[in-house]
Amino acid sequence: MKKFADKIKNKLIDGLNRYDDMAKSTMVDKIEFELGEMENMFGLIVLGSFIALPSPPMHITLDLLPEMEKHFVMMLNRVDTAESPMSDLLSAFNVI
Amino acid sequence: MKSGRKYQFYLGKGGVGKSTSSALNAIHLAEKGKQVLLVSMDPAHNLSDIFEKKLSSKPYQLSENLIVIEIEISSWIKKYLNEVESQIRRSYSYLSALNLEQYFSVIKYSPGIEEYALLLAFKEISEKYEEKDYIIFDMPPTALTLKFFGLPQLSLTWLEKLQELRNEIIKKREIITKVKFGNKEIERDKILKKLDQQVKSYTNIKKIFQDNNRTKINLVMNPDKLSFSESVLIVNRLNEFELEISGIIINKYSPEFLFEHIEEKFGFKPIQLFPQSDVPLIGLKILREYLSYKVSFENSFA
Repeated sequence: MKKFADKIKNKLIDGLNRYDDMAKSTMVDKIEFELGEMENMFGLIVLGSFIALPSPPMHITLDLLPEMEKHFVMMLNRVDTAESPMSDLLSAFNVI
Repeated sequence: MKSGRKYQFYLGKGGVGKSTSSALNAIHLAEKGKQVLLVSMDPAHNLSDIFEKKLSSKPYQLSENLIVIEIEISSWIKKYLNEVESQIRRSYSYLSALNLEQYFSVIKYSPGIEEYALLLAFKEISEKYEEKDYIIFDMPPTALTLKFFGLPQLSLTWLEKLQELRNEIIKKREIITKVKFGNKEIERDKILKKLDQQVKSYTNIKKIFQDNNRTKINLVMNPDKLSFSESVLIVNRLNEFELEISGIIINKYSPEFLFEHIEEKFGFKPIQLFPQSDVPLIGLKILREYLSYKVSFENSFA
């Protein structure tokens, strides 16, 4: 009888854990997506001048630039793949 | 920094005698035994002509207690951009940094770079010449001077917003790391660290500008309508940055000048008079003679 109860208990714990993992994974996915978008926003705000958007004074961008390689490369790739007139502009500067 | 160190800035409309007034005050203080550094921030330097010496960015010992420097904005811009470029080359992968050179050659003409170069010069000179009692700055024409004084506040406004956004990002990243990896230590965000450093640096500069005991912002004007109306504009713009002028210098003063207008527009500020000279004020000897025969110094300028 005890064995049967343990089995049920383990099944229940297992089920709960799976549910917990599922919920966590959905939650983390959502936060990760939000985080990605926030990082994009941050990159756009600071490095906007590279793709012709309004941006902070140049010295703030330049001071942060050495720490923002990931954002910088992503920004350039996005412009490159967008096939927009902006990519032509950047090509004119031979940045990419 | 030397605790008793004082800063003086001379600003006003072009041609009113900012360089002459700053030179006269620098000589006066040096003759009183103070260690003085006189710095020309004006891209069109006048101090070389006033002292009849070939001055440059290298310190020139003009008299026992007086050193003069003329700073070149373009070389400060170049130095700054080179520093950023080499930092990028150190921290970026080879490919990302590959074509930056051309972009940097364009950036040196960007708006805002000139006043930032002036701010860098101010910061470095303040740190380098710690032993001086006075550092006197002969400022550039009005537009650039106002941008220089407004830059710390403008930068802080942007930086505080960026700090907020960065903190939000870090908070989210911490949640994800906690769920995925437990209580693993997270490396400190390099961008936030840089933002914090910048906020600290601009706050310090803003404090120096606003400290009336250490910093005197002296407005130079002539007894004429044009320089008077530009002076009103300067004072109003400085007030927007929460800065106040400390004193007014009337250069080429003549006895017909009416002081009521000054008090009406600027309030009761110490006024220093530099009367019209019979001879051009050129050369250290003539400047000294002019000071001893023609000028009596108002207390707060002495």
